[in-house]
Amino acid sequence: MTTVRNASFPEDQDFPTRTLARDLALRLAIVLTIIIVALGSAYFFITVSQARSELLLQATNRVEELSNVLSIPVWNLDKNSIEQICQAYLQAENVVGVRVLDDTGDSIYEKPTDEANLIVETRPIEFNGQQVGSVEVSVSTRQIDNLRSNIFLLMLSIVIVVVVTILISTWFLLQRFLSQPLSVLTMGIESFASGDYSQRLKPMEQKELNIISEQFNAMANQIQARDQLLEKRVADRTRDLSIASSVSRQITRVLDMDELLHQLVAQTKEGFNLYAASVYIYQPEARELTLEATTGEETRQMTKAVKTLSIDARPSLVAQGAREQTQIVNNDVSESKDYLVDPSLPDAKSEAVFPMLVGARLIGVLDLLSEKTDRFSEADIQILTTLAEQIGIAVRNAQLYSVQLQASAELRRADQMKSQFLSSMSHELRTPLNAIINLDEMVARGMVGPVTDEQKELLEQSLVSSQHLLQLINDVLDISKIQAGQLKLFVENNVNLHDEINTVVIMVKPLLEKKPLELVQDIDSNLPIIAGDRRRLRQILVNLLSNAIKFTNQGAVTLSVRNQEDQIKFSVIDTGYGIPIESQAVIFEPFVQTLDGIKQEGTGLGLPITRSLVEAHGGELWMESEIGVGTAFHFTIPAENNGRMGEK
Amino acid sequence: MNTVSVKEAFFLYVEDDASNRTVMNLIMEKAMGARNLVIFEDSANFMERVRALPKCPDAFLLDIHVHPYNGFEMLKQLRTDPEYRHVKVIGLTASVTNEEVEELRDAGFDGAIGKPLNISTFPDLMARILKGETIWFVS
Repeated sequence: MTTVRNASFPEDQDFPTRTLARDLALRLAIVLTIIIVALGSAYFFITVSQARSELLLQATNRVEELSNVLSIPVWNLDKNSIEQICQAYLQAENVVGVRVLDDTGDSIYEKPTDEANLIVETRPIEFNGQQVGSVEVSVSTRQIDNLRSNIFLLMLSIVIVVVVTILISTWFLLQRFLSQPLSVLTMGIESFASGDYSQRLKPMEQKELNIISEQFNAMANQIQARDQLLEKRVADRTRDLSIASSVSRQITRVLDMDELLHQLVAQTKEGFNLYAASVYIYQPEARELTLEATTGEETRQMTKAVKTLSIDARPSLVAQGAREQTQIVNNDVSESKDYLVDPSLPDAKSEAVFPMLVGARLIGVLDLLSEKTDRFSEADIQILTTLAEQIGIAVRNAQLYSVQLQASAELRRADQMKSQFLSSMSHELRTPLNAIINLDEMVARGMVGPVTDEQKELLEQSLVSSQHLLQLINDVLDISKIQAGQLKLFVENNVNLHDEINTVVIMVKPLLEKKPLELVQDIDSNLPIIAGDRRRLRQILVNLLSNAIKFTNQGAVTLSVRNQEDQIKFSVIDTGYGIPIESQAVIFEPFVQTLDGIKQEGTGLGLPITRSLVEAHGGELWMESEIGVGTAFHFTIPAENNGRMGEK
Repeated sequence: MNTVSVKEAFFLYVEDDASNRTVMNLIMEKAMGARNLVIFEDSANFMERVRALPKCPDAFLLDIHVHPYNGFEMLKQLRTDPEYRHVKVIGLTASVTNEEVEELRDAGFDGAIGKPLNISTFPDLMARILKGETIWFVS
């Protein structure tokens, strides 16, 4: 029974080694051997006792014949005859010994035998009714012994032949009728178990095996069907999810609403294999749903016909879904009174409506139609609800984006117009000023002929006004750029500060001419080549120097430039009135006129612009002032451009 | 190329505004002592007239808002002619914003000087340009 136990406990590691063929052959052999031995023994005993009876009869016959034949010779004591007769009988079958005795019991003739197993028969010898002696005959039982061993050998050979035959035939038969079919079954089951669910077993010849095969096939069919169903479900869900996620992914990228919605309905229809997909956008003021995008040619025609739909419309699942802000799924619209029949979509059998909500705000409705009844399962509804939410968010983003876009486009346009106006104003004013300033100056300098002192004085006043006008133009242009955050530097990498300082000095020298004022240059000789905007660097220096000259009536204006390794420090120091502490705080603000009570020409923009230009170069501008002593403006410019230059 | 002195140099100026032409004439003559100045009042047949000059100018001073060809187009015509590819071309412009100056630089001008010109600095700038320097002086 170990086989059975092992079979019912397959986790047992001792796999059975016994086989059906071996067990069957062994048992058959034992049973048959017992039968053969039993039958053989019966036969043996019968045969042996028959043989013994025969021998006994022989001995009796021989001894009775001898007692008759020897009657006379013994009477006559004719020993010769006795001897002859006895010898003759000794020739008879199985007779091995004869002894003749007289009436006194003496031996007359004796032929003894040394055999052990004998049958001995004795008879008296009579003559005329008188006992004259006796005769004794010994018969050998050797024949019985032979017979016994013959029978034994016969039985042995029968057992051997039978056992061998049984072993061979059972092995062969089992092989043919059990092992082979079983291994076919086993292979089929193994192949199925390892995942080939299409594996089926062939019909078997034997009824019992065929039952196994049929049962197995039935089971396999069920498993395969269930497996295919599961696979299909998984594949369906995976596909739906991937469509939903791909749609979601795309819609978060697209900000153009029209393009977004058309892509979206097309993908949704395609991806979910639907009859039609549409997106309605809710217009809160009008309490209407407008059809913004829909799929298919037929539905395009509808777009013109039913472009808007009141949120109160009945019947309409779309309006209902929007009103109730919940999904409406109708898997058989033919039964529904709420369904609004659309003549351009005659084959619709199921409709699902998903409100697109952002928080509590209704953005619109996603409307899906299918040509099949019962199209929308629980799982579909979950996915599509999420999709509708995503679309809602994307639409809301697009709406906000387009509002923003409009606003910023308007701002940009206004800003552009302002910049354009300023730069064309600047251009238009500069062209005449070129003539005014230069011709005026050349005449005033006497370059085109002699001028009287009075004429020169007037021309110079005119020149100052012209230059003031030019400065005003420049400053307004600059300050508008600064305030718009659009001040950009025109950076060159090879700015030689010595050259630029020389140019600046040339530019401001004319301002000194009418004042008892000295311009002192205290400049390090080893200034590095730096990156910067030449024009703006000159502008900073010209602004500070011309301010200093303007507000200083006597003494000196000193320009000091120090190479401080990582930066260059510029200082413009005057011996002017000084700036009162309360004014110091405001002089960097645009349009603040400086210095109490002392009216000076100037736009009031110079210092704010100057500070912005310094900061645009990555440097700092600050001041020190003492009333009656003078004022010092200091600024730094980094020796190396650290990449921040030009940022505002 | 040997450096030519301001006085010896041959300048071509293209300018459609009469008063600006007067200013340039006077600055060249009175402030710089330069004698070789040719002025075109417009840019019609620009290249033909350039080739018809007795010699190649040492510096081209181009107003930008000129007709029929503006400063950029004249520059392009010069740069596409192998003979004038390497001449010095300076824009003289009343448009002085950085964006406008960037445009000149990107187009391939060798420099720009802003209007109004400054009698004090202009001769020095011309000398530097003739030495081969690139000058962006728009204020």
